[in-house]
Amino acid sequence: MLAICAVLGSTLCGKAASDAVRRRYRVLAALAEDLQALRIHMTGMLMPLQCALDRAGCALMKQVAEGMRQGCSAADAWQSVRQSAMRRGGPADALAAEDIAVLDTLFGQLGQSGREEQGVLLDASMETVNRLRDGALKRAGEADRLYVSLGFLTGLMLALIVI
Amino acid sequence: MGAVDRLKGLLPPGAAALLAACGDGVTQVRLRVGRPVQVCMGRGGEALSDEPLERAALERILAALMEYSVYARQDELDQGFFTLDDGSRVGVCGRMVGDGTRFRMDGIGSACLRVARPVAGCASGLLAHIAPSKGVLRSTLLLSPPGLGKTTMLRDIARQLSDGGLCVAMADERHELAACHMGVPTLDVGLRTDVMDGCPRDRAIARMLRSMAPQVVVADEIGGAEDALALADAARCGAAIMASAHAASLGEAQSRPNLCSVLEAGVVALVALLGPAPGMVRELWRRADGEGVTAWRRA
Repeated sequence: MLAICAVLGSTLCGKAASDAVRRRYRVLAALAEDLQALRIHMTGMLMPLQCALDRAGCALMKQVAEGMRQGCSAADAWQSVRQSAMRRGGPADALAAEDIAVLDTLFGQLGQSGREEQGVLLDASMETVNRLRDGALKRAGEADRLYVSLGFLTGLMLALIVI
Repeated sequence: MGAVDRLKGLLPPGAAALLAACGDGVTQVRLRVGRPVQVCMGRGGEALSDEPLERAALERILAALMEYSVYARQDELDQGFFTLDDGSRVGVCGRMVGDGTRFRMDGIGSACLRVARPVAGCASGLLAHIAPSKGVLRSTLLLSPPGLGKTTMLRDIARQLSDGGLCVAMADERHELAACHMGVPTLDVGLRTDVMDGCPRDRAIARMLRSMAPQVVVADEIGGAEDALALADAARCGAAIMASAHAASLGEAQSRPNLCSVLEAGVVALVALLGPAPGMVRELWRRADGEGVTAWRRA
């Protein structure tokens, strides 16, 4: 019985570790969708930036919108929420440094120029986020197999020791 | 928050204190790079700040007034202005770049905030001439040079007619009449007023005629040939017209081809010339048609 528990527990630990890697993919995928919506709201519907960010689904954009409600620019609002967003449990805690760099560039220029320039900025950001998302998906697939297998093998070794 | 209060929080401390000291009588605030902030009050009074305004400060102020959404104001900016939530208009001047047909504002060197202040009841006196008795409604054109309260007067006419039971359609191309936010008026334009916001006047009038069945059509600062055609069409459809235009006299309006066509085609029956102070009516003219000739007589 103990041996079975060891195998199961260890496999689940491996699965949990692989889920953490997959979370980055999910956050990036959500961000890519939000950027698409943001582009429509900004350059298509000409919504004020704070309103457009607020309508985006992800918590990260909503936090920046909340910061803008105090009367500051998107760049300032992002800087004020950046650290807390990256902390454990924050909406950007699963993101890597290269993902955060994309957000730094995006929020640093968001709302500060004409429609065409903002379209170019958002398109470039979307392209980069999509590329990072695809990379994260590939890594998540690899991690899935690796961590679950490692967990299972570790559990098996423990079971053998117990027996 | 009103435009002046917002500006107080954005200006450098000295200029903000000056603006606060000027109280409620502020009509315009003029900002120019490298020069003092000019605060204009009613009846020609003005005050200048001690310190010149830096370019970075002007850019920061304008960005904040535009809610950090330059892209959303681009079309307005290219026409030399943008309008705030409360209907106040910020005119901008500076470097324009273009290809000969389309011009873009590239670098802003100065700005002028014209404070919008709704004055409920300011059109009551004029309304006695516009609607002298039950069932009679005279289409009216308000004329004045800039800054004498045409928009304020027009808004109050719309409000009073609307509250009085008429369906009013307002073509608010520059967001000044109703100061709409996401399509909903933030200023009191009356219970029965529908506003088409941000759309060219002629197209807004045509659309509202088709879809809203208005009894009164309101349009601010008319002057183009398309405006004249759209208003003539609205008049033919049976709607009363309430409009305003820039002109210092009836003669001056008649000398401008598009306004002349509005005056001569029977689109309006009453012309009110505003002045000498904001909100006052200096002259009132009524149309008196006879033998195919339109004549205007002082009322």
